[in-house]
Amino acid sequence: MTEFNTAENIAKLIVRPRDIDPTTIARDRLVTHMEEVLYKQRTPLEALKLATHPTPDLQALETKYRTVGDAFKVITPHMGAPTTYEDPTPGTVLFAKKQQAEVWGSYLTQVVMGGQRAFDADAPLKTQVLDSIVTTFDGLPYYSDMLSGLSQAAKRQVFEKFFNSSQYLDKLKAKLAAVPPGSVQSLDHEAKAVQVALTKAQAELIAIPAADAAAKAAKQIEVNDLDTELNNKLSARDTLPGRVSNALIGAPREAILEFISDNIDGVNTTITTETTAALTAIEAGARSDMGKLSTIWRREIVNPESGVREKIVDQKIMTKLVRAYTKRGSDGLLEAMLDRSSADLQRLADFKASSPDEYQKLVVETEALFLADYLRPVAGQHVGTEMVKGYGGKLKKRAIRKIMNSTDPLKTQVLYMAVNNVRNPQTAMLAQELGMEDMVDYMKKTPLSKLKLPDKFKKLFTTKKGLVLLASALGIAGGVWYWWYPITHALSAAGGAIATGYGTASTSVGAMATSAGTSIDAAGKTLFGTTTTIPFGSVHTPGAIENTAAATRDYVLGTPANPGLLQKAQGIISTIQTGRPH
Amino acid sequence: MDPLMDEKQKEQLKFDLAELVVDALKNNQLDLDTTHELSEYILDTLDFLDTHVDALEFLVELHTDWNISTEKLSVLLKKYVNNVQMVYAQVHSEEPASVPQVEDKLDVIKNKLAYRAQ
Repeated sequence: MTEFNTAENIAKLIVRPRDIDPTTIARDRLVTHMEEVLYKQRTPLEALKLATHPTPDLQALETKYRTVGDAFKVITPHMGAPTTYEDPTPGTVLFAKKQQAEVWGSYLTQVVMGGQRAFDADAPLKTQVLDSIVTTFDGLPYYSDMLSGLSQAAKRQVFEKFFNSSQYLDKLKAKLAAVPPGSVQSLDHEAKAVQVALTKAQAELIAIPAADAAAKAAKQIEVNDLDTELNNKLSARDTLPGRVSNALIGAPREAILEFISDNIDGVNTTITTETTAALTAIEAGARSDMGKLSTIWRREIVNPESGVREKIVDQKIMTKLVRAYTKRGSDGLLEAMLDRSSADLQRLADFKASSPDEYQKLVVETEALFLADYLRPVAGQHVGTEMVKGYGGKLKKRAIRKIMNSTDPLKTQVLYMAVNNVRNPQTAMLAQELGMEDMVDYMKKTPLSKLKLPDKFKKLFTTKKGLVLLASALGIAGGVWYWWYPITHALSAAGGAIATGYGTASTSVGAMATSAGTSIDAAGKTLFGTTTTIPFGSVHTPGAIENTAAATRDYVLGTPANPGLLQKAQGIISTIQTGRPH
Repeated sequence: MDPLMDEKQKEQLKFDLAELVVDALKNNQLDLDTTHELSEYILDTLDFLDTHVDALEFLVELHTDWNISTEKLSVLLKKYVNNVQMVYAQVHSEEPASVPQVEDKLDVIKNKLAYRAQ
C-alpha cells in the first residue's frame, strides 16, 4: 500500500499545514498548493475515470452505479459536510478543482458520471496518470524492451488502450459488484421507509390479541423481516463509502500490476498489439506533420485588391531556411523548421529518433517541396523581366546555385523531385534564366519512375548510398550544377549497363565489369570529351565539362560578341570616375 | 569551378560591403529606408557569395539595381576585378591537371566494380 491508498493518508497530505497561520498565507499560494496536492492525489478517481469511456459495457456500468458519485462524497473520515476550498476542515478530502470545490459533491458526481467528458477535460491529469503508469512499465525488463523505441506519447497511447480493454474493465466491474446499488442518500431514504413500516408493524403486533397466536406469529415474522431489512439498509448506507473505496481506491500502479499478474497472457497480447498500433499511428502522424511543414514558410495575407485570404511564401522565413539548408544540409533545414514550431512537431522529433530510415525519406520529400517553393519567383520580381531587389530572384539564383554546387549526391535527387514537382510557367522561366532548361526538359520527359531499370538498381538512383556509389565511381561527386544534365544521362547509361551486368546470373565478373565499363566509358566521353582519330593524327572533341567550363569563362571574361562580367565592372568603374566631381 | 574565398576573404567582403553602404548613405545615394532594406538584403546574400566572381557580380548588381555609384564602389570594383583576374589566371594554368583523365577513371571504376562483385 502506498501512502496514497487511504483516505486518511490523502487527507494528511492535503489539509492546510497546521503550523502556518492562515492569515499569512496568500490565497493564491494556498490555492496553488491545494491544486498541486489534488492533482497528485486524485489517483483513485482515475481508475474510474479511465474506465468510464462510453463503451456499451461501460454505459451499463454507469447506469448501474449512477449514484456512485454520491458515495465519493462521503469518503472523508468524518463523513464531512461540504466545506470551503479556502478553509478546508482538517481531515477533509477535497476531490475538486478550485472553481468547483464549494459544491464538491456535485462535482464528484460530474467527474464520475462525465466519463469521457471529464477525462478529456482533465487532459493534464490524464497525462500525469498515464506517465506514472509508463514509468512503472519502463522499469519492468520485459515491458521496457517491448516499449523501447516508442515515444512517450506513443507509450501513453498504449496504456490508454490498455485501460479500455475488456479484461481490465471486467476486473473493475467485479470489484464494483461488491458495492450495493444506490447512494447513501437513497439508502438512507429507503431505511427511513423501512423504519416507518417497521414502526407500523410493531404497533400492529402489539395490538394483536394474545389469543390470536397465529396472527401474532405472522406479524412477528413481518416485524423481524422489516427489522432485518432496516439493519441491512442502514448497514448498506453506512458501509457504502468504504465498499466503494475498497473497490476503486488503490494506487493505479499496484492495481495494474496485480491485474497483470492475474492476466499475464492477455495483457501481453494487448500491449503488443497496441504497441504496434501506436507505432503505426505515430508514423502516420509524423507523416501528416511533415505534410504541414510546408506551412511553416507560408503565411496568410488578405489580398489588398481582391480581399481574398491567401497563403503566400514568406520570403524572409524562406531565406532563413535556405541559409540553414545551405550551411547544414537536410538536418539544418529540418532543425530550423522544428525550431519554428517545436510544440507541434515534437512528434516528428520522436519519429526521427525511432525510425531514422523513414524519417530520411520524409526529409527528402520535404526538401523537394521546399525547393519547389523556393524555385517559384516572387510575384512582380520575375527574373529577367524587371529589376529585382530584396528577396527576389537574384538571391534565389545564388542560393540555388549553391545548393546545386553541393557535393552531396542526395541533393541531385532532391532537386530532381523539386523540378519534377514544379511545372508552372514562372518556374520554367526561372529555370531558363538559370540555364536549367535542358535539365527541366529532360526531367519532365524522363521521370525517374520511367527509367527502365530493375528495382534493385533503381535503388542506385533513389538512395543516398546508391548515388554515392555511382557518383564516386564516376568521379563526379563534386559536380558543378550545370553538369547535371550530362551527368544524369551518364548515370542512366551506367546504371543500365550495371543492371544488365548484374541481371544476368551467368555473366562472369569480368564480362560484367566490361559491360559496365563500356557504358561508363560512354558516360565518361560525354563528360570529358572524345578523341577522334583522323589520318593526320587525333582531334579532341570537348566534353560537357570543358563546354560548361568554357561557358563560365565566357560569362566572366566575355567574348568578342558579348562583354563579360569583368568588362561590365570596368564599365561601371569608368562611369563612376567620369561622373565624379573634380 | 571557381575557387572559393577563404573565411578571411569573406570577412573582408562583409566589411567592404558594410563600408560601401555607409558611404552611399553619407553621399545621399540611399535614404534610410532603402539603407535598411539593402542591409537586410546584403546580410541574406552574404551566405551565397562564395567566390570572387560572386562578389564581383554582387557589386555590379549594387550599381545596376540599387543605383550606387560612389567612389567607394569604384574602389571595390577594381579590387574584385583584380581578384577575379588573378583567380582566372591561376585556374587557367591549373585547369588541364584538374580535369580527370578518362582512362585513369575507367581503371579505377573497373577495379571498384570487380572488387564489389567478388
